[in-house]
Amino acid sequence: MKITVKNGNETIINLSGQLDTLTSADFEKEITKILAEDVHTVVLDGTELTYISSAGLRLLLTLQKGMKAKNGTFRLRNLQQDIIDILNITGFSSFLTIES
Amino acid sequence: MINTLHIKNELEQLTRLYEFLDLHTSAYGLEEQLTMQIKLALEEVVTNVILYAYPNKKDQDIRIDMNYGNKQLAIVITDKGTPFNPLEMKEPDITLPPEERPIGGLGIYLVKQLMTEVTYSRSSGKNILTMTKDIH
Repeated sequence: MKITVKNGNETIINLSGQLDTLTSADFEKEITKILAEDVHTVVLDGTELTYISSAGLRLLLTLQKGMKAKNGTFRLRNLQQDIIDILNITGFSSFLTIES
Repeated sequence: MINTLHIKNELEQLTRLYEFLDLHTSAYGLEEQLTMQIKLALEEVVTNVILYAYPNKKDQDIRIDMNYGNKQLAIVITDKGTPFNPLEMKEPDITLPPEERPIGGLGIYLVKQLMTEVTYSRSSGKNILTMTKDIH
């Protein structure tokens, strides 16, 4: 999996590949860094994200809670349908902001 | 034909599980979405076994058997660890807001949602979890 983080007005995270039990550890480090910075808006671009397991879902929850605690926003965009299906099954789509 | 993989109880061994799955699901000709769902179910179950079946013991065996026939995929995960039925875990409340969401419990819930049937048995000192998925 490849993680790219671009800082600007919005912090944009591009995830490419599979967010599973093993790759989640790397993503968790990035999230910890992002949440420690003075960041108001985080956008996760899922154009190339092909898979997510519960380890990855847990990190989306961490980001959502962390950004809310900072009075910031967290959005997901360009998610593939398979990923959206998993977010629907787990009820995550009810509290995450998902743009098409 | 049954395809079998043995792994040790280390998270790094998930890589071998993914390779095993990719190899056989493509040989079975399963579509991508289905392959993803099966990978997800298998990852959740095997990760649980790796983390919890053999507390403080290394180099322990986990066996995965996979078989495809009659429009059904069957996967059996066997370990000789602590008796544990993951299906008895309390189901998460998926209507809770993020602030009240517990960290765990989602994995097994996903397995139940994504597979057609999941059963657990304890026999001869082994935990045996069987998952099937009907392929249309």
